[in-house]
Amino acid sequence: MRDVTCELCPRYCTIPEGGAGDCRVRVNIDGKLVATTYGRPSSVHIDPVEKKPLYHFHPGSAVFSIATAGCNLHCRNCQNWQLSQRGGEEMERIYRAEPKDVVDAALTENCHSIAYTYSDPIIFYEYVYDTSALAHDHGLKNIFVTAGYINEKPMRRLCRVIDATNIDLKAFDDGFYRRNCSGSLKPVLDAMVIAREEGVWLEVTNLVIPTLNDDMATVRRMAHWIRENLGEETPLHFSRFTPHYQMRNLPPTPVESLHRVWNEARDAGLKYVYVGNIFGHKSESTYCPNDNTRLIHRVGFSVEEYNLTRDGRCPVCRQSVSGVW
Amino acid sequence: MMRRRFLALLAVVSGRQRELSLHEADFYKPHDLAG
Repeated sequence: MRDVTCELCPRYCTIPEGGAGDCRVRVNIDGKLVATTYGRPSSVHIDPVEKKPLYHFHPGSAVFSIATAGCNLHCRNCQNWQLSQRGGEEMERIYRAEPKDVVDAALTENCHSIAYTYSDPIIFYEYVYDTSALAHDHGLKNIFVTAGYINEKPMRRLCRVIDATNIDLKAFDDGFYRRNCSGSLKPVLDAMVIAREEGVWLEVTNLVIPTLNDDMATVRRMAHWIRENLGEETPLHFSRFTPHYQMRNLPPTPVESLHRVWNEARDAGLKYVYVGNIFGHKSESTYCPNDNTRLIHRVGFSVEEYNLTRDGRCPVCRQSVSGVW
Repeated sequence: MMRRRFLALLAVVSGRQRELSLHEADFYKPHDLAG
């Protein structure tokens, strides 16, 4: 019998022959680790880039979005649990889509980018990498939407082919990760720093869950950490929780809580702070950090008005706005 | 309508063809053979 140890994520699963890692989809077959969902997405959609969410990366563009089954975290509030908490063989529908098929479909549908998303694309790493490299050859961009629970070496390698990432920082609290996600905080913070160091456009999302991660002192520490380690121009999205999966006992996040965390992050010095999952909220839009001119007016995932100059500046005061425009 | 159009570009794996990929993963370490 020949075990293997998967070194992709901080779990370092040791997997016996015939067994799968914690993610369910990386399997030891005859002493060889196999990525069983390579070329086998179970979720395929075309989304606006705002849905990822990315607000400072080609606003209003269409994104060909794919995911396979499996995940290396097990969040009690997962909203995609029917996809993420299953192995590939458990899925009702599987597509056969090699990297070339994905790129061809994205081009045919006039998409600007391909997003690896919905579950956590870390667990279909090789599929992401090969598809991304081919996408670049055809002028497409790549977006990696992840919880960032990955080891340094694969993360740095992936950054060669990824253009933008949204990393879900679930809480600035290691205990929260251990209790609710079966993970830990530090690797996620490291992944964000790596993305920044490697020049990948980075936005951060924090889902605000009542009583579990909405403590103001924790939010303040998170905002300060982002400012000091990722930069004050890093967009931060506070997203509204709604009950899902094993966390149906909590109510949706009160709008007032989102206002409070928004203010806290702005007070900490972050320039671009957003509120998500509240349709039509003022803080879905982008404002000039200098004179408060509304630069991009969003309603839900739709861009209603776009006032940035071609070189990404406020048209009134010429303040430069960080992003990939 | 759009969804149906682009999904038609991808083949659905079903029935006997449901077998999963055998693509070798990156980033793993085989252990020595043990009794």
